[in-house]
Amino acid sequence: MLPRRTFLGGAAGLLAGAAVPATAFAQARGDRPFRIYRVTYRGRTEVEDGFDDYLASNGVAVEFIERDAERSTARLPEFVEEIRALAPDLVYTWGTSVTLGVAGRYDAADRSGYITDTPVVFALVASPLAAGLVADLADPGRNLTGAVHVVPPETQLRAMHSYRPITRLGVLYTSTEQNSLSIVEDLRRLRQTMGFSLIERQFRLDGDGRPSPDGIEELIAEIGAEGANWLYLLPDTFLGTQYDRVVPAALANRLPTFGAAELAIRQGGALVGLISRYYSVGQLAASKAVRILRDGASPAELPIETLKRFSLIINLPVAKQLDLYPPIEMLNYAEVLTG
Amino acid sequence: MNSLRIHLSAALLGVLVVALLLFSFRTVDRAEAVLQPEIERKAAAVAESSAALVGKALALGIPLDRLQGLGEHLQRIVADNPDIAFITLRNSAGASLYGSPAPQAGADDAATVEAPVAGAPGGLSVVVWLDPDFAAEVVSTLWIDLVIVMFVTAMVALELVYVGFGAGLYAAIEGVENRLRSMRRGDLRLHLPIDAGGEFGRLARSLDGRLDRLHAAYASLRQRVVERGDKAAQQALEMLHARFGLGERVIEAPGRVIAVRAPLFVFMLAEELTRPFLPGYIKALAQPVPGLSPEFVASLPMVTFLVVVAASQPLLGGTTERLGRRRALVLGALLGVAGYVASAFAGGLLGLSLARAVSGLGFAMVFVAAQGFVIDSTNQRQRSSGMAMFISAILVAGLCGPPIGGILADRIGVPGAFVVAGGFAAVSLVLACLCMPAAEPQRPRGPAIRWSDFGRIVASPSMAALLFLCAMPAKIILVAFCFFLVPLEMQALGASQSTTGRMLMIYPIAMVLLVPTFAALADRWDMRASFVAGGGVLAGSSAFVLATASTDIPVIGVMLLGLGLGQAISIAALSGLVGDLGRQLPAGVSETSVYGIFRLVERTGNALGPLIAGGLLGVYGFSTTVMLIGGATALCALTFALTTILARPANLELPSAGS
Repeated sequence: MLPRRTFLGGAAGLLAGAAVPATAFAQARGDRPFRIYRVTYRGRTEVEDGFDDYLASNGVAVEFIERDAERSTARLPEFVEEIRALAPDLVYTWGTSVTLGVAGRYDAADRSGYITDTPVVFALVASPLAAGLVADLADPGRNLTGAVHVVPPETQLRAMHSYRPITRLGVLYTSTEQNSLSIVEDLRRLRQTMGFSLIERQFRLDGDGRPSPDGIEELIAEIGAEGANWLYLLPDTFLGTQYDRVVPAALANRLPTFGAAELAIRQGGALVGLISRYYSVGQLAASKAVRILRDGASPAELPIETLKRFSLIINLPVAKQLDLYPPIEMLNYAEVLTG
Repeated sequence: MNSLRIHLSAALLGVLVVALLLFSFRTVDRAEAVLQPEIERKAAAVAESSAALVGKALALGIPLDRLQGLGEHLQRIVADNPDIAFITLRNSAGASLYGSPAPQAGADDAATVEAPVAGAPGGLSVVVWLDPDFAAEVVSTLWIDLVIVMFVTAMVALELVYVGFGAGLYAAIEGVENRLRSMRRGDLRLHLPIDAGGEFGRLARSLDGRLDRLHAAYASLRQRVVERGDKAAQQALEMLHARFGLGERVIEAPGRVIAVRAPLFVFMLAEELTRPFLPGYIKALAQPVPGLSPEFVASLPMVTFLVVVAASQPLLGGTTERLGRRRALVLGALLGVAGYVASAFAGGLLGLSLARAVSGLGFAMVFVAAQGFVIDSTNQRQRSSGMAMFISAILVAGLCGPPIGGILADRIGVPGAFVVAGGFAAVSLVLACLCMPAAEPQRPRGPAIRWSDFGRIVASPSMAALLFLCAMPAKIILVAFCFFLVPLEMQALGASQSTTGRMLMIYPIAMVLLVPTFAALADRWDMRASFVAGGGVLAGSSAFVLATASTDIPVIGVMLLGLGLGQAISIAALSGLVGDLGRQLPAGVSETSVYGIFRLVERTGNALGPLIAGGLLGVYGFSTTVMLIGGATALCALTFALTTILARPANLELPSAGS
């Protein structure tokens, strides 16, 4: 005899199937939710909130296996082993270093230490091309896709320009970071079309060729002395660790700062920034996960994308300090931080 | 003249105009009642939104004297809203902090709207001064539109009167009038029967019955007299015949010509609707073509239309004859419907050019079929009055179409206006089916244009000079100015389509009002060649008003008036002169051939107009292009004057005017 519960479950699945295919799929799998192995870099962020909410509002039932790398890559090989053992439906990774540690470069000679079959969806990788995760954003061609959070440099500069026209733009970046070099290249190109001049400074390198915080204050003072009227905080990994020295130095030189990363403005104290909201980036990544889990799409065929709409954030206490208030119409669409 | 018909039409028009005037006054009244509160509501919304923004900034802790960009924000509001004269942020003392300073005390009568800044200290508020001229301007624009609608409604009503009564009641009334009038003169000839019902039809038939009996009695009397061989009686009967026209028939127009007027008018109206917005529409659709200026590219669909018209007209004469004029007109109208509707939905320049080519073929077909119908339905003596009807239908359409097209494009958009044009073409189709007789009278016709005549006609230096120095430039300048350059420039000046449409009325108004006068004067003074040359010089020099003043809308109006005046002087004289010179050609060149080639040269000018204008516009801009074309036209006319008037005394013996 057919167990009564199973029968009812099947009927419910059919009924729901007519309205919400997502539920039908979950039900048809015998009520077992999808299992996602999640690796974060510095604990839970708003990205994960957006990710979870998107799945829930699309009716995709999931069960997470949560792991945190605690701002280090040391434990990543151990996670890879565990992923192999647990065989989840999907792996989620946060940021460039975690994603590289779990999925590896697409052209790595030895890929035995990485996940190469289970689908991996990343969030918050600034430049998957520069990191060597894929060769083509539109066509990843491997078990990896995800959401990029960086706003294109030109869009950033336009926002900066409408706050205060750029005449001389200062940048401070790490000469060993490929991503930063390519952004500076973009800035050099934009300087002609947008009509500003560029003042470039690189972080000093230590004996091992690694960037060092030495002399940050002098470098900023030089930029200020050359007449810069904006300091652009580009998405440079080392710069991201030095906001607490760079931003006060800029303030001391009465230099307004424009941040490309959310952290630069929320914690680093930059004056203004145009960013992809972490929450929205999480939603975009979750949309890829849904396509893979529910629709059976292959990550190799899902393009890596960036958001189409960005958020302008203004740090009003900093504006007050600099006596550089935003054009009043910006208040119609910007998020204003007051504390 | 046909007094009763004219009285009836006048009475009808009178009633219509009075009714329309009443409606117009009501409309304007309602508009004024609704307008002012609506303007104030909008101003209040604007003031509140700015006040809210200021309030937000102050609440965030931005100091009052650091509201960056508030001045620009307020300036933009004034620039974007024609109904707002000033807007300012004011404190409780009445001092203006941002935005335009408060107007002088004298401007107290101007309405103001004030919105307080919520939560702000010191009684801050945003104050908006309404522009008192705005409402007046809206109302006067509305009046202009209403008057145009009234004018056009009257014209269309007249056309409908022709349609409704042309073949029926009016023909019967005219028939009775003609019969009574000729009897009063002692003219007892028989008339063509009238196939109309009603009192007038019966009256005409009973008159005809009496005349028939009289003629039968006369015939039998004459028969008997001839048999008897009585010379004196025979002579007496001959005198009766001569005195009263007994035994003869009146040769008169069968009243058929009028049947083509309504479908022709409505179809021409469809094409004229597109005048004000077509160049701008093309420009908006145009994709850049490497190596060609956008202006030149924009001229291509217009050129396509005019080339199709020019090239197909000489060929369509025979076709419409074979098909039957009515069927040809219906087919042309059908092509028109397809062309206009396709133009509305054309996605690009190529599609639009194809749609315009189809419209052009339809246009040419309707034109040639209608012209053929007039020729078929008239004899030599009635031809010029028939052609006058034909030309007046086209001129009235040219007068009514552009302003209506402009209003339509402003209200429902260009694609919608194209669909309306398609609708007009469809109405023309229905009217052709309703009004035009199905049976075609068979007429022996001479050969239309013999191409071998072309060389012989052009070989005459005076004829060649007339065709290529006057006829062709006249059309080039007309099409280049009215149909291409002016609509584009008006758009560039920010004028609405309605304004462009009104502007394009100047030329046809000048033509309608002045052509008959100048035609008569040219004949009376025997100065056709001088009129042609003088008109050409005037039309061409009209362009140079742009050199004396900056390019704005009134100056363009003056230019179009000069063009209309010049061409009104020259156009009838030009047509007559073609006939005069044609008769001096070696024998064997028919008048039909001469006029056929004259029209072909004119149409070639039509097609060259936008091409030349587009090419020059891309390189030199509006003013220089206009002056180049105008200067060239004037120069051609001067050269014609030198070669023709000075080389040969103008002693032509001129028959009555007309084309």
